[in-house]
Amino acid sequence: MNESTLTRLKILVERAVRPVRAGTARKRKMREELLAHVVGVFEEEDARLGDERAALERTALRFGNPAEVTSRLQESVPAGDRIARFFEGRPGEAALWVPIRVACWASAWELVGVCAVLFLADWVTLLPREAMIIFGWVFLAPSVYFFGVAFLTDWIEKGVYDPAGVSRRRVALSAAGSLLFMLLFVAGAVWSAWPAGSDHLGLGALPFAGMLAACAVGLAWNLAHWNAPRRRYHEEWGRLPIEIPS
Amino acid sequence: METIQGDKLRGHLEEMVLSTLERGEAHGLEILHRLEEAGCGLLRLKEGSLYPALYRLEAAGAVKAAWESEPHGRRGARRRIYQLTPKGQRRLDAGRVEWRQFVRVLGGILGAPA
Repeated sequence: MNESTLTRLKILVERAVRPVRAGTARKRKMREELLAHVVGVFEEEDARLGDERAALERTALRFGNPAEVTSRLQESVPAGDRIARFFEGRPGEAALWVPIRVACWASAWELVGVCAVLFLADWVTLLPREAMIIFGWVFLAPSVYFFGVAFLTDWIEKGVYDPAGVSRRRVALSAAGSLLFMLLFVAGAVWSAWPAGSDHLGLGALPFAGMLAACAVGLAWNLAHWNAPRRRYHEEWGRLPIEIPS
Repeated sequence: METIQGDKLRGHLEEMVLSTLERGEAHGLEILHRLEEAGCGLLRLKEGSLYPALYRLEAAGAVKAAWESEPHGRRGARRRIYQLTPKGQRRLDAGRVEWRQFVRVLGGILGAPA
């Protein structure tokens, strides 16, 4: 089987799978399995008919109307797949949108949590100002952290997985930027204790910020590493022309 | 004799798939061959519709599937091998009882007893 025939078989599969609203992993499974099927059918028909063009036509006939297959595939997607789709994002989009979505989701729940705890317990008038600030910061800190990870992921993805090649300078800047961001993050958490607690800041904050920076770089690296083959896969299948010529 | 296709098969495809898997594990194309063989060539399935049925059966726990370890010469595409589970066997047994009743009742109405 030559490359042109394989591409035509992929187009046959993509006509049915692309319109399906489902998570990336589920659609990838559909594509691979349906492709294996149509390749098997084509080989059978080619062996029987001895003509590639006729075998391709018979394969398409046996496969059925792509719109009908799409409809059946859509019925097989469980309702819970929406959650996977929300966190995975749209096909081909940058990895930074995953932590941004997580951060937005976390922020929304944190806001609900803070409001519920403070107002239902009538604590607004009871807590001192400094405690309120620390309380609020503790709740908001995960969202701020994930927003930072989002931008770090984008820089690392571009630095390591750019088609032009690895940019060590960009990766080094990402790591340095992460450390600076975490220092500001930790400083922001303890600013209400300045200048009285400034000695503690030097001893405790720097290693803590370093640890958070290392975690952020590791998390961003893994996200970028996870997303790079995913984007290449979507680009490969997304390029296939699925419109039926009139 | 005319072939059986389309709407007449809808609603029975899943039980037919479970029945073929009773003979042993198989991938999608093999399942189709078994159905054609058992149907004496009179079944006309749109092959693309088999996989949504398999996915529904898998989600219901009636079958389980695993990817084969390599494509075996097929250009970059692996097949999934499906196996009947105990839950699928119970569903098949229930489906057979239901079918026998269906055939008996309709046969009586149409004057064509089984």
